[in-house]
Amino acid sequence: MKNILATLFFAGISAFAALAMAAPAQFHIGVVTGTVSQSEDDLRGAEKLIAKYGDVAHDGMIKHITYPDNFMTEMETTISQIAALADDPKMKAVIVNQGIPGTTEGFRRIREKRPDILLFCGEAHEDPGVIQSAADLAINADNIARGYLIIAAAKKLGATDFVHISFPRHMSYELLSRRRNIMEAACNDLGLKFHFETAPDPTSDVGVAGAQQFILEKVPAWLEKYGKQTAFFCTNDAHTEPLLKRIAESNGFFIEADLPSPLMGYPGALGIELADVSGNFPAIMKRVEEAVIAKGGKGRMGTWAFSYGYTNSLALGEYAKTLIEKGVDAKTFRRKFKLEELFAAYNNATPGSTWNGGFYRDIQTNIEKKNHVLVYQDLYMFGLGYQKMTDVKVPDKYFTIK
Amino acid sequence: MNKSDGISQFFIRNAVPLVFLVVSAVAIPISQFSPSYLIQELLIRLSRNAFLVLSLLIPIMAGMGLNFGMVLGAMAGQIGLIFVCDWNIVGVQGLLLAAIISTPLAILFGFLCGIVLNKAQGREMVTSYILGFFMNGVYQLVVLYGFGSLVPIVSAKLLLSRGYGIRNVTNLDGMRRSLDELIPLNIAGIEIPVATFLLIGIFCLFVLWFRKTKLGQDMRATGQDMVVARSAGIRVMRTRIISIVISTVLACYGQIVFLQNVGTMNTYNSHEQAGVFAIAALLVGGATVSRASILNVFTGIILFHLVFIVSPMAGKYLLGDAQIGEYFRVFISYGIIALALVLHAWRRMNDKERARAQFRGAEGGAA
Amino acid sequence: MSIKRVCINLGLVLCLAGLIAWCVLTGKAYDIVLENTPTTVAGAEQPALEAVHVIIDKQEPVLMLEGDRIISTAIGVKHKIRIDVLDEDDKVLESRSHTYTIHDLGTPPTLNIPAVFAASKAEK
Repeated sequence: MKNILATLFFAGISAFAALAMAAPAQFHIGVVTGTVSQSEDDLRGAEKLIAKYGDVAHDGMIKHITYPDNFMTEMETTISQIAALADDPKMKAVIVNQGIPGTTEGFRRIREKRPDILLFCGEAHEDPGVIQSAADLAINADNIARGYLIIAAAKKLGATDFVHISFPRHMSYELLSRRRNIMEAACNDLGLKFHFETAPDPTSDVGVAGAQQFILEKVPAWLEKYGKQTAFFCTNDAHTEPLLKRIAESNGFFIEADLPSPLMGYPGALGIELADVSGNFPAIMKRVEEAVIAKGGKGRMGTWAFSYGYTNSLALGEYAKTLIEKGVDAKTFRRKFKLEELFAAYNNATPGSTWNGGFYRDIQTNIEKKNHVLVYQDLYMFGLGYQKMTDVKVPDKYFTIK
Repeated sequence: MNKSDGISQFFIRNAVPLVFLVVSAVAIPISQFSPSYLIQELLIRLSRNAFLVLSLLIPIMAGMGLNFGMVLGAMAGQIGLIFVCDWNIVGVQGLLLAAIISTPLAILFGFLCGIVLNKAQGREMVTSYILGFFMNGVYQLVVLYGFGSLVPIVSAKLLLSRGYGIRNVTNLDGMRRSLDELIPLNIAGIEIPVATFLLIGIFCLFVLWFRKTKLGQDMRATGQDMVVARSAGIRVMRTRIISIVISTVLACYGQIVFLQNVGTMNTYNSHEQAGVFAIAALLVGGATVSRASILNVFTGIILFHLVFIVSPMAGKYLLGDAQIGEYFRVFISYGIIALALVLHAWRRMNDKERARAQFRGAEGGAA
Repeated sequence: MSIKRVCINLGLVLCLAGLIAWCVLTGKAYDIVLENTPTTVAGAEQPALEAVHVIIDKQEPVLMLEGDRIISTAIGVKHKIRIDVLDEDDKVLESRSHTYTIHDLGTPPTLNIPAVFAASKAEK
């Protein structure tokens, strides 16, 4: 019944959108995301854009396509999917979220054919140097600043110890291993004790189930060992769910996940039913907060109020629309680009929450890349509200830790 | 054999290409792509993939089935490209140098592969498939831990900042499309990669010529019947190894041509797709495990990639949801590959049945 | 093995070596750091330029604003760099060129745009 109602509701909205936009849109914006099975939040952001500005198929503004689920081996498909957007003469901007391998080449192909199209990339997976060579603007989560801010938030909440849970494969990723080192340095400076714990890799022979079992068994032991005022952080999504479950039941802090979202771990850990509010983040937050407080996790568990992937799709879409309406195209973008405007678009997409960040700085050459922005959102602690972490200044020294 | 039997035989023989033709004929108008985009995209895909698919022909001739071991050649090509990127040599020179560096590696890999396959006669396809996985592990170990520590790599753009291991994406910007654009030709807004097609043409001539040489004849004899070939004085094992070596070396060049067109290399994944996609394209072209021609190669690539290009958009417009378009593409493309394999088995059974019937019919006539 | 075969093999090896040498010599590219930052040339303060297009050899122009540092790639040892100073609407105000070899630039090869701009003024 709920489904039928939802369908009717959406049909009503699209009919309304079609009526409201009787005249075809002046320009089109292409949005490329993953499917529900790979990255649901990104897709919901694109759907929100369609609900607001209409689908190209119905004379609207947004042309939404998805990249292959199996994107690591089907790069050829990704490239031609992205490049195909340049086939539309009204296309003025293309947003790829997330920037999986092949995005750079797709962008290069669009640029060759249509040098005026704005090319934005949300959460670039390719190497920074690679995506920077083609995109007008690339976005990544600011793991450098967060390395300090997560510790600062833990300190503010009264934690005495900090446990970083990871495994060797993740520690071979450049940004993850740098973030770990920054966290350790921040712990030393702020007076917390840093502990590094290893957990099994879910992609190894133990599998996701084995890795989750390990966390379920070990968290009480760690709390015993390091005390009740311990904050936990893990780099792997599969570890997040059992970690949340144990922390909610007992003691300890969970500041935020590797890629924080109210949907990250919480629904599974606390058994929250969210099917009827998908894509509606204020409603999701309300329900998750109720569940966390009911389980006794008040003031000890946090997240970003809006999913990062969802905001990327939505904010970059809105930002592209404002730029195009101002007559900015890819050739003039570099001159007109202002960091404040980008953050304004992010803040508008997430009412109540705020964003901050800065340009990407290459650690080897110390060159600041003006088309690559690292972003982070304010921390929301369930039961306490926003922590205003975006106002905290991150000391410069942390940006140079390797 | 009467006429209607002939027609039904034609349909059975060409069932797979015909199914693909029908699917794409339906999907093209729905996808709303402009003809110029489609032609351009098909030309790119043809130039990109033809070399890889052609490299499969020679082992089929030698009766070794579809060479899934071409992944090894692709790995050799990628190692060559990593070195060339490290030395920062760009353009056609870079490609040529990558090919020169990777040739000995590809010969070595092909030789090892050939020896293993000789031990596993009759199960070459599945053995080479698993061999590909095994070598993938070796490749990852070497590139992720050996490069930068044992093998000297200087470029900070390639090396992880921990000091060893290659980054997960290698930018081939300097070599990107250098072969495709060596001889620029633009007809009505459609760019034609003349040099790549010339290379493919030379390669086709090579395959035709090779069939007529002594070695080529030996291979065909080996492919027909190993026992007969051996008794005719052909060194069967050696011939089989040579066919795999040639295939691996050509797959190595094919991967270099492929990646120069794509422009970025997934250091740890690019080779994985090479084998399966090339083989799927060849099967779609109407080839079988035991018989494949140059015509199969080109029709196969065109039909297979046509469906790949149009089906996501067709799915989107047909069903009104972007992700369903993607599922539609996966369903159609891989469904048809499975169909190709099933039809192949069925056809072989059918052929046997017919041969037996004919044999019996001939006997009956005599009686 | 007959003398003739040895000769042929030797010839082939030499050809291959020649080919490799040709590839390395003509295909080698160099990365150069371009910086549009204030500098001092012969005691005189050179401010960074507000906006310039930098064109190395016949490559696509690269836009550099005040304070930008970028990495550029060019094939071969000797290059011609052209600097177009732009106004607010990206119209070219003034255009100057300068020739350099990679060995003049030090390690890592660095080229300061205001310095080059000032130097080429003297040439004109």
